[in-house]
Amino acid sequence: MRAIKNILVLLVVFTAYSGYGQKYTTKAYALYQEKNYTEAQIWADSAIVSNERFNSQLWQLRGLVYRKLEQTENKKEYRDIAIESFIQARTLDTDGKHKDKIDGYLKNTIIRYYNGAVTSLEEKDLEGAEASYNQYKEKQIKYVDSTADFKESDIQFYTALGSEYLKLVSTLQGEEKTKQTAKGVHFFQKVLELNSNLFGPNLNVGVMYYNNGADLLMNMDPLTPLEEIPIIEEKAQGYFKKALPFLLEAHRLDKARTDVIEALTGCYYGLQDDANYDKYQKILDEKNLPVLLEKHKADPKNIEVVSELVRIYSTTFEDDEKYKKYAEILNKLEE
Amino acid sequence: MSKKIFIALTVVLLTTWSMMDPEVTQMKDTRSPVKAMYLYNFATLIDWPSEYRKGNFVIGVYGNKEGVYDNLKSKFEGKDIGSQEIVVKNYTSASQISKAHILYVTPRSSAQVGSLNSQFKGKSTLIVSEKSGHLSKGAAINFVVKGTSQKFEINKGNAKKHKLVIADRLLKLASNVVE
Repeated sequence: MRAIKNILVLLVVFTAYSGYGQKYTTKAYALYQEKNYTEAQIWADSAIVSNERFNSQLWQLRGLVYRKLEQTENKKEYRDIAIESFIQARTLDTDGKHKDKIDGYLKNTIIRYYNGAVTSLEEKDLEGAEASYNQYKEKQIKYVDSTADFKESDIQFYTALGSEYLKLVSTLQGEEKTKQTAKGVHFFQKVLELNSNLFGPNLNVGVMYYNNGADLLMNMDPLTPLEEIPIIEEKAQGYFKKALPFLLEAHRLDKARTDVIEALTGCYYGLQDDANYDKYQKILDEKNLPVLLEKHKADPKNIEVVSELVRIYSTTFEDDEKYKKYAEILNKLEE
Repeated sequence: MSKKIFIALTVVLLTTWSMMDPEVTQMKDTRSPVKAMYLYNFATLIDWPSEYRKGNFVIGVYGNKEGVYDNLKSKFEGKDIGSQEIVVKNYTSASQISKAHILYVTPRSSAQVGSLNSQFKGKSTLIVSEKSGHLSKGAAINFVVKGTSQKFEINKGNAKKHKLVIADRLLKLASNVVE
C-alpha cells in the first residue's frame, strides 16, 4: 500500500513537472507543425527563459523556427539566432543522443551563407558575396569542422568572384576601373596562391592589367598637355609589365590559346619591344591567316578582315603582290 | 529545403563556376593614340606663316589608312587650331595632295619622304616621318623609339626651310634636335 502510494506521488510530481516543463516547448512545437512560425517563435523564446531552457530539444526547435522565419520574413539576422540555438542544443545534448541531427541542422543552416554568396554573386553584389562566403567559412570552422579544408572551394569561389570583377571593370573607366581592377586581381591572386598552375586566373590577371594599360592610352584626353604624354605612356607600360608574367604563365599552360597570344602581342607592342612583338604576332598570324582568308571568301566586304590581311601581308608575311591586292580591295571598300 | 537538395544545389553551382571561361581580350593599337596626340601637339606648338592661317587646318596621313589616321580622325577632326578647324585626310599618292599643314608619312611609305620634300619645297608643310635617318631626307620631325618610349626628333633647319617656327616647349621634349 505504501509502495503504491509512493508511486502515485512520484507520478503526480513527474506529471506536474513535465507538464510545467514542456508547456512552452509543446506549444511552440505544435505551432511549428501548423507552420505558424511567428507564434511558435513567441513560445520558443518564452521557453528559453523558463525552466525548459535546459532541454536540448527546445533549442533545436527554436533553431528550426528561426530558420523558417529567416526565409518567410526574409530576416538574415534570424540565421545567426538559429545557429546559436543549435549550438546551445548541442551543448545541452550531453549524452550525444541528438548529435547527428543537430550537426545536420547546423550544416544546413551554415550552408545558407554559401548559397547567399552565390546569390549575391548572381545579383552582382560582389562585396556582399565575399562577406557571405567569409561567414560561411568562419562558421563552418567554428561550429562544424575546425579542420575544414577550403582549398578547392576557395579556388572556385574566388575565381568566380574575380571573373565578376573582370566583367565589372570592362564597363568602367578611370579611377573606378583601377580600383575595381585591383580587387579582381586580388581575388585571382588568392587563387594563384592556392594553385599557381591554373590557366584561367593567370590569363585573367594578365588581361586585367593589360586592359588597364591599354585603356590609359586609348582613352587619353585629346587635350592632354604635351609633357603628360610620356607620363601616361610610362604608366600604361607599368601595367603591361605587370601583365607579362601572368600571360607568359598562361601561355606556358596552354600554348594553343590565341587570346593569350593576342594579349602577349599587345603587351610587347605597348612596351615597344619589337623583337617579342614580332615573335608573338607571327604565331598569331600563322593561326589566324587561314581563318581570315576563309572569312574573306565568305564575306568579301568585311573591312576588318581585309585590313588584317593588308597588315599581315605588309608585315608578318611580307608579300608585295598580295599586299597590293588587298590594299586595293580595302581602298575600294573604304570609298 | 532538404539536405539532399542543398548538396545537389551546391554541386551544381560549383560545377557552373568551375566551367566559367576566362574573359578574352583583343589586342589594341596602343601606339597610334600616342603618335596622334603628338601630331596634334605639333599643330598647336608650331607657327605657320600667315598664308597658312586661313581655311581648314589639314593634317594628312600619307600611306595606307591605319591607326594614326583613325585616331586623328576620331579624336581631333573638328577641333580648332587658333581659328582653323582641323580636317584629317588620307593620301595614297603625292598627286592627291594640294595643301597640307602637317603630312605624316607612314613607315611603309617612308621611301617617299625625299620626293615629298621636293614636292613641298617652298611650301609650309611639316613633314613628319617615322623611320630612322629620315631627318636627313627632309622630314622636320621624325618619330623614334628611345628605350621603351615613343619620342620624336626635330630638324630645325628643315622646319625653317618650310617657314615653320617650332616652340621651345616642343624642342625641349624632343629626344634630339638637329640645328
